[in-house]
Amino acid sequence: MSKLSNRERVLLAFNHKEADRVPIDFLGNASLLVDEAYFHLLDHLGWSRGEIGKYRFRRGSTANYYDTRLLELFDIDFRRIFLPVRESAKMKRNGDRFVDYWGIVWKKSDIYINYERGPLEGLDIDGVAGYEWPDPTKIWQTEGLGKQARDLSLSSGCALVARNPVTYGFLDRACNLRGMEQFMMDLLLNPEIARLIIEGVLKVNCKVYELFLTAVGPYVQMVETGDDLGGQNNLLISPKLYREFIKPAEIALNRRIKELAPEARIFMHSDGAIRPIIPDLIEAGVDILNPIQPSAAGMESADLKRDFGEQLIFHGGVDQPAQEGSEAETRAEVRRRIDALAPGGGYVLSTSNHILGAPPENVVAMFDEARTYGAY
Amino acid sequence: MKAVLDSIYESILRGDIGGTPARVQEALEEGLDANTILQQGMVRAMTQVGHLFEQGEYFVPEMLISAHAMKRGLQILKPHLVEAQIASLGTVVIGTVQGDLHDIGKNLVIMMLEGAGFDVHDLGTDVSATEFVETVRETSPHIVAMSALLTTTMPKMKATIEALIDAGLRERVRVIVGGAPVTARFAEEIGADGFAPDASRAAALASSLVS
Repeated sequence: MSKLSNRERVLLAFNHKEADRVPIDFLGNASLLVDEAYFHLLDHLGWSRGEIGKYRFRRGSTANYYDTRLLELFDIDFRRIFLPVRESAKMKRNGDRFVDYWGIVWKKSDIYINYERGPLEGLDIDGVAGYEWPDPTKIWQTEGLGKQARDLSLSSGCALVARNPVTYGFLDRACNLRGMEQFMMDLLLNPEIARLIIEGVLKVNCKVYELFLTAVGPYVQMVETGDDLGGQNNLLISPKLYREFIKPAEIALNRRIKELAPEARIFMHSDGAIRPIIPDLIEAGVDILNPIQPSAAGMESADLKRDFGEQLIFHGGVDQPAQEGSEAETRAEVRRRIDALAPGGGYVLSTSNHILGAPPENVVAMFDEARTYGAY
Repeated sequence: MKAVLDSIYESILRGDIGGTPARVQEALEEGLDANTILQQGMVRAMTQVGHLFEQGEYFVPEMLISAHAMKRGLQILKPHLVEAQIASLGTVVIGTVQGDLHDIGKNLVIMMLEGAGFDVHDLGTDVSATEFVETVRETSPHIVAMSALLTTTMPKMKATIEALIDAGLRERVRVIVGGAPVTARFAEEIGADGFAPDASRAAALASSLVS
């Protein structure tokens, strides 16, 4: 057999077949390096920080760099296409606060940027109904994007990914717009307000993905979506509330994505203990589940593989505590995930969250182990 | 058990934010003493809410509305508790650590602590080590409680404990920590006195540390 291209390797795994090795992803949704960890890795590799400006794909987050040299170095099988925000729509800075195009206020403290408050806080239903939702055509631009995707697909030979253009999902975004405590209570006390907010977010998100995938849909093999539905021990909201408020929106968005990129798999990121709704996510059209965080309750890799391995492709898994331990612990963690998830294909190895405190030696070791031990 | 205490219990469990203060008022009018209402109505209810949360039957929304119902009831009860000179279990200084603006978990812990009978001094979010130290110096609490949602801000918990040591205050308070990424092992590593995985267990932990 001639050597597989990165994309062929990914497609075999997506089709639940064993390729030459487990495909590896890095620098995607929730698998970036936090800036400090990125700088340490550059230093460790002896790479200059002089020209890294061109790898910064955003500002105002704790993880802002997409350095394609790392993807080449580690033989990562995926490359990403980003939907660019227009210069005029970028975050407005006011002292240590930033306001984004939703009207959500973020506050910078030390090296961290955190959510502070949202535009729908404290409003009654008329106030919420009167909120002016952002117009995606004024915020994002797609000029030249299709050509860029086609060129990257040809030149890289890698699987192409439509990078999550909105970062936050339905529950996340609604919490940011309304204030988490209030939105969580709205779900039970003011369901009309909760529904209005979710519908608004759905309309915006559908339009954003429409813009993006109209340009790049034919070239991508994976489309990223995400939400944060799980805590460490359980879902944040009950399966009942999830099914009533969130799932219908997921179904609608995923249907639109499939129309625009019929060949692509839908990737869904949700941290935490989400096991009780995995069958719902599958019904809603999710093909690839990330990050299957092993330290969360009920998310044991072998159990997930046994119960959902035929319907889902798993993505992620290499957990944070081990990465921050010794190099041997990091390698052992990679082997654990491969042992549990790789048999029969259907697994893309990646981290279970952004890389944070892992020493650079461990980052290098993680991908080295994935390439060698991941051989079928 | 008086029927009105059961109705307070039920209204908190259901998260009846409007109804709970009225139930508490009724109990007071029936001549029940404030501490009985607190213990056998409200604390009992919040303990059950905590159990239901731990067992995975209640989620964040259910717990929040119960906690708000409890809080509204407590507003009615507070003057009567003061009047009856019911001693609080102790004082807790609480905050989300520097760099972290997440407060839902912390707010739940506060409501559970108040429901359990603590006085709580809330420093809010993005609280620096210096601010914790100053407050401990000024208010001499029994417990310092720190919250973090982000793995990136967890190290600030350690920094705060170190600042308490440097200020010579560490021996005077018990330190407890919590938040999604925090583990018992982490708590032990940074020299905290305790860790709780959720709000109800945080209140139980605090009670055990002052008893």
